[in-house]
Amino acid sequence: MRRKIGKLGKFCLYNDGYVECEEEIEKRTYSPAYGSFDFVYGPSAGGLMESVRLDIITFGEYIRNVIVNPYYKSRTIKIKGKGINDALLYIERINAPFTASHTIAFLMAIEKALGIEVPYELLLDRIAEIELERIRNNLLVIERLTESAGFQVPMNSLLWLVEKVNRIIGKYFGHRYFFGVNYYGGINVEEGKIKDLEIIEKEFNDLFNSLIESRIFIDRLQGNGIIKDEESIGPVARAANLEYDARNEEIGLPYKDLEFKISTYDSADAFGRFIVRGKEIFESLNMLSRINLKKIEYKGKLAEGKAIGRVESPSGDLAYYVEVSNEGKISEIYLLSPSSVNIKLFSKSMVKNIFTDLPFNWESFGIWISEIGVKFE
Amino acid sequence: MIKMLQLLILFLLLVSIVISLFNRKIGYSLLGIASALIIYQGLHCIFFLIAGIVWLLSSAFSIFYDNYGKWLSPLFITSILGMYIVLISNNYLEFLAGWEIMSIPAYAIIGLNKKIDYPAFTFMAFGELSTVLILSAFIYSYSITDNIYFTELSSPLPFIISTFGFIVKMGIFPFLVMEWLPIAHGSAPANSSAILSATMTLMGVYGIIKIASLTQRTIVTQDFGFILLGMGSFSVFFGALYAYVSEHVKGLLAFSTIENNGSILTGIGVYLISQGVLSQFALDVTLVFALAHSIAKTGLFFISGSVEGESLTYIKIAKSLRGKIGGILLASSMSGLLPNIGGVAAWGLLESLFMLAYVEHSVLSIIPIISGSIVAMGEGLATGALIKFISYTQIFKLGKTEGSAKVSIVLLVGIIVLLLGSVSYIFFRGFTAGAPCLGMLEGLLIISSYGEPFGGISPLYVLLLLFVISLVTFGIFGKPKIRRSETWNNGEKIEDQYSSFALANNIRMMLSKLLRTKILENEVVFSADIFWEAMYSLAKAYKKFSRILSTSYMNSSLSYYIFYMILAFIIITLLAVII
Repeated sequence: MRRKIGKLGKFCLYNDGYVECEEEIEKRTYSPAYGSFDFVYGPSAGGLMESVRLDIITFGEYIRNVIVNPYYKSRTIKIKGKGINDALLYIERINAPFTASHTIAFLMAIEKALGIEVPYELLLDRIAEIELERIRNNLLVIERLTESAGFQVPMNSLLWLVEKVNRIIGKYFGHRYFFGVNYYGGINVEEGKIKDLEIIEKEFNDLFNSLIESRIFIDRLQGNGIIKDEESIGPVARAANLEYDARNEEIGLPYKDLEFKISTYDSADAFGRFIVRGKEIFESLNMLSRINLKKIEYKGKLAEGKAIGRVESPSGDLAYYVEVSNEGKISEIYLLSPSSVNIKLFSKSMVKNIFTDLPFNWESFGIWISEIGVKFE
Repeated sequence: MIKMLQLLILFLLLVSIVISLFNRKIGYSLLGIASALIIYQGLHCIFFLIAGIVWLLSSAFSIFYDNYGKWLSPLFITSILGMYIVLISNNYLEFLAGWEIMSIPAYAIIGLNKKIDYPAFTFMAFGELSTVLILSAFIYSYSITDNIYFTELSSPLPFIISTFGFIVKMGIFPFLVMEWLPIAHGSAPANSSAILSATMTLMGVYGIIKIASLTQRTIVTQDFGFILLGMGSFSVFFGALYAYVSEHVKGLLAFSTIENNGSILTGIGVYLISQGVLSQFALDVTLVFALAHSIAKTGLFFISGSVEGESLTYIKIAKSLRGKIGGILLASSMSGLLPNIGGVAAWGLLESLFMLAYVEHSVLSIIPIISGSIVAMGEGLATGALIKFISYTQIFKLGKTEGSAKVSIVLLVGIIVLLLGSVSYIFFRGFTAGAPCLGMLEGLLIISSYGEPFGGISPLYVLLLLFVISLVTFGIFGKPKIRRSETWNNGEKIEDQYSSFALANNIRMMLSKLLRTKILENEVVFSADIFWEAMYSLAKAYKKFSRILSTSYMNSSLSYYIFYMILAFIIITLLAVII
């Protein structure tokens, strides 16, 4: 089944290709109404990790509309004209929590554009990076949910788990946020099986089951931010029983060899997204247990080309379109970040909810503002 | 002497009506003089005191407020004349005459100031329902006593019937519409709203207590007391709930009056159920509640007359420190906070209910406990409503500074309400004591008692402590260092403000079943009064039924009429045979 992923520069990206298309400017208007006003939350307010302004149009409690402005953290990054490995230094700093996803998607686009066949073991290493990143991010999202509920014990326990995952990443890849790990021509990695994953699994299993059994916690999530949209991606789509996952599609990473199983739920709400993220942690741990890290290199080449690289980041499809000149320089680059898609879905899902639902729903989308306001030059 | 004083007051009121036709300021001034004399008369009867204070303040306010043309002042004073006649009446006819003289000008005020027709008619219809019930009770009283003068009644029936007549006028559950409709939808002027809300309902309280005092206490009056307890507490809850969600600057106050009248009726219920000391305490509390409500509500209606517009979300107000202080004092009194008189009243009512539960010591104790809980819940909602009212009329969205005489009167009423709390001991004769071990002098502690002391408060000491603690703090730490900083709005400029409507929308959503809240795309609709809606639907259904009946079976058809005549003939013949 063909699904639309989102806008990638001048293209519309689908799971099976891309076509040039016009920008669809979605106008969601609201009429003035008695008693309704604009409640501003952010860009600089407690509870928000990054600068973002939410204009909540409300009658009081009841939310009529939410307009999100993520462009308080805008950056123009000069990449065009730079060499591939120089460009990577910028790419990996766009959004540190998703560095592996960004760099791998970028490199896959380059490699495809230049017609390079990447060694199988290196692809497995890349899967390991993305899945470790997913575990860390999903733990963090669930931690943010517990923080919104004021659950100090699971919150700190989850933060400790995040720290443990960071240490594992740091031990095997040399940097907790995968900086300097991926490069055009190879990977920096400590060889061998990743240890201590079973501890993460056991501790998270206890926490996850405790949270599911907490009525006061799940009450805050169930029925909150319901969204079932054909154009959704990542855990948002999967929580609505839509089996959308780049790992199940031909993107150039051998997930099928690791017996990847898609995780879904059917409630389409914040609770569903929480469950999907939790299940995905177990699935990622399962796949990681099958991977043996190996330091592999391949030989690059100078050629002209253009292609798209796409991965399933922790929050959904993340894609780069890259054009490379025959001097090995980047001549064009577009980014489709999952947060740019999720932020629209979040706005839609907030309508008809109430104030107290907002922080839970916001966190359940796992949006990173830093990857939205990026322009390349 | 008293007769002479009454005649003088009546004369002054009549003269002020005539003069106000030509010069309303002089008319109101004369009303003020008459009111001062009524206050003097009130040294012996609290109802005169309450009414006199309200009318004196209203006359002063009206001098600066009334720009409604020639008709308002004579009608306003005539209505007051009617109330005064009610107060001084010593027979049924005088009472009824006063009752109608009070009601008809009020109807005219609402009718002449109309934006829409039906509030005045509704007010009149329910007003006349009230009169019919009172008249029926009085006719029955006359038939059993053969006396037109107020005399002791052996049957509780006149009291029960007249009480229903009085509570219709007080806007008690389920007749809430009587209070809010003329004020909110009828847009009654602020001075008239004050007397409609404060003293006209006071006449209802006076009527109930007057007839109750004439009626012999029996098990029936006691059981009726439980009914009043229930009706009163439901009125407290619904009045406060609708006040909280109301957006109309005067409508909110009208609903608050229903809440207060509910409290007063609850007090009357305790008065009827209990005996001896507790009954006396409940009566004292009822009267203090009437005093607290009437005066504070008058001041709050003056505030409503000082703003531009009717909807709390969009009103325009002027900046005034006097108005702000006065308003906060009034709102805190109405919220049942000490050391204001409202605090004493709220404390006394809850004490009465819990003492009643203790004294009953049976299954019936559950009724005052539930009533007390509902009253307490209503007080909470009422506090929310008044915070909303004061915030949006005196604190937020301030315009330019304006020093008007009207706001000075608001401040004066606020101070009166504050000081009345500290002199409320005089209304609790026989219920005062001291606590020398705590440094509290004899007579400065109000004791709630059912024969044995139950609880106590000292409003004067609360007031003094506020001053003393403030002074000590000032003495130790000196003038407070105040740092002023701009309001932080997420790092953005302040654009919109939290609307009054939004403040109460949580309750509209939480109690959506009760308030029949519907959230549409561009508005939130909710019921202004479910009881009125039910009555209105019933009336409409009856009208529809009548129309169908008249067009189908009473449609001037000759054959139908012959059929009716034959039917009637058969029925009468059968009845004649049977009987």
